[in-house]
Amino acid sequence: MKHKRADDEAVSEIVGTILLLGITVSLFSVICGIVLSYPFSPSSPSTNLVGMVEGEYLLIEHRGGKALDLGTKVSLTIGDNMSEIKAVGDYLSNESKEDNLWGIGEWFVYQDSNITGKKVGIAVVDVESDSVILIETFQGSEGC
Amino acid sequence: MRKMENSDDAVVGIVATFLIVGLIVTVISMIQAVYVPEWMEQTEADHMEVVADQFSQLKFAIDTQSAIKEPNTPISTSITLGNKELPFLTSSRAYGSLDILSDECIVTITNDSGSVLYPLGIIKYSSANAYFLNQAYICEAGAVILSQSQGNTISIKPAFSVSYGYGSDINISFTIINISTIGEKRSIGGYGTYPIQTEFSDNDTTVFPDVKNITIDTNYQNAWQKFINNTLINSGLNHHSYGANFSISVDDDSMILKFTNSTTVNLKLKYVKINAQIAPGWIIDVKGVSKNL
Repeated sequence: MKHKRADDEAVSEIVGTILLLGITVSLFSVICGIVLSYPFSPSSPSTNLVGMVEGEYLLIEHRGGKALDLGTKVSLTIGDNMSEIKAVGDYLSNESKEDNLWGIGEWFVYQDSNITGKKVGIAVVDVESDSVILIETFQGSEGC
Repeated sequence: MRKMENSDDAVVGIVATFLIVGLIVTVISMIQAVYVPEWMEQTEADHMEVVADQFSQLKFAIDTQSAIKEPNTPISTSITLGNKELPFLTSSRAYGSLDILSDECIVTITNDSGSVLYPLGIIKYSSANAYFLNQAYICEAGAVILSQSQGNTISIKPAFSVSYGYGSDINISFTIINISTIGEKRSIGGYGTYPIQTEFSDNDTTVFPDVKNITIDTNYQNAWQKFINNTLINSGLNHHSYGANFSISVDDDSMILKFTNSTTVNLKLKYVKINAQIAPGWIIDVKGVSKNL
């Protein structure tokens, strides 16, 4: 009668190969998942904005860089009041809006007598990239 | 004859290798397609900020020389023309050029005696970016102007001031800078940092009574129009209660400031000539003969 002989010689190679394959498949799946689900949303635009308060006027000037959409939002907080959201396009001159963009040398002009003497907080949010591109707090002057 | 045998022994290794190679290619492609342009755009935008800072230093040097009026005292500032590509992956360098251009801007003063023209030279930096939008910084008539495809604006204001009280004459003081050059060192291009040397040469002050028009022939008329309009209005001119004092119009290559007949304007115009050279090796002008140091 012929006896069966126990043989474990190939076990570690098989286990190693299965582990290697498992790790590779897992990594590949994870990376593919990340890449395919990546929203590819644009990054925050490289734009220079300068804000200031003069009397009852809040002014924000576009000082170069990428032109912004007219839908760009300005969140405005005057004193202890709740924030108000303004669209840039509503506060540019007609000439500035001709190209449907907020570009270099163009001014956002917001007039409100409540600004005088109060703390004014602004946050400019680019809608396309959903990012804050200017955040600032001013102490409004008392005016004449 | 040796027989070929079917065997699946190496299949797992090959599959694993393919997957690993695929993984690496996917990651590199993603970085190259998505992240490299964003990194490079940000790098070029940062470089433009550096140029803006360097132009403010150049303007400071020119203003200092205009104030102290000391000839034969050159001051060096530097401009970084471009920036390098990433040391890994595929990206492009950004280049730039720096030029001293003669007679690019003409300021014309018109009054009852006639018109006087002041042709002015400028210093101009132009970028050749690969990712970020192209910009130009221009030192013109004492102002620093930022220009890009959508328009232009005055980045650093010139010495232009207005004093006015209702019922009185309008007194305007305007300092214009003429950038001139000796020899041929007037243009450079590349991506490194290069010096630009400036030196006071000459100045002259003229008072023009009863000025009717101030015209600036320039490629950046919108920047000048906005700046002068804001300055005059902030000084109390064209106040709705007192009627119009001035009007500003622009055409393809000039900005024209016209004062109304009922307005009396006295202009104190300071003309300053600054010699400038790009690249090392200062050339001095000895009685009309250029001498290379």
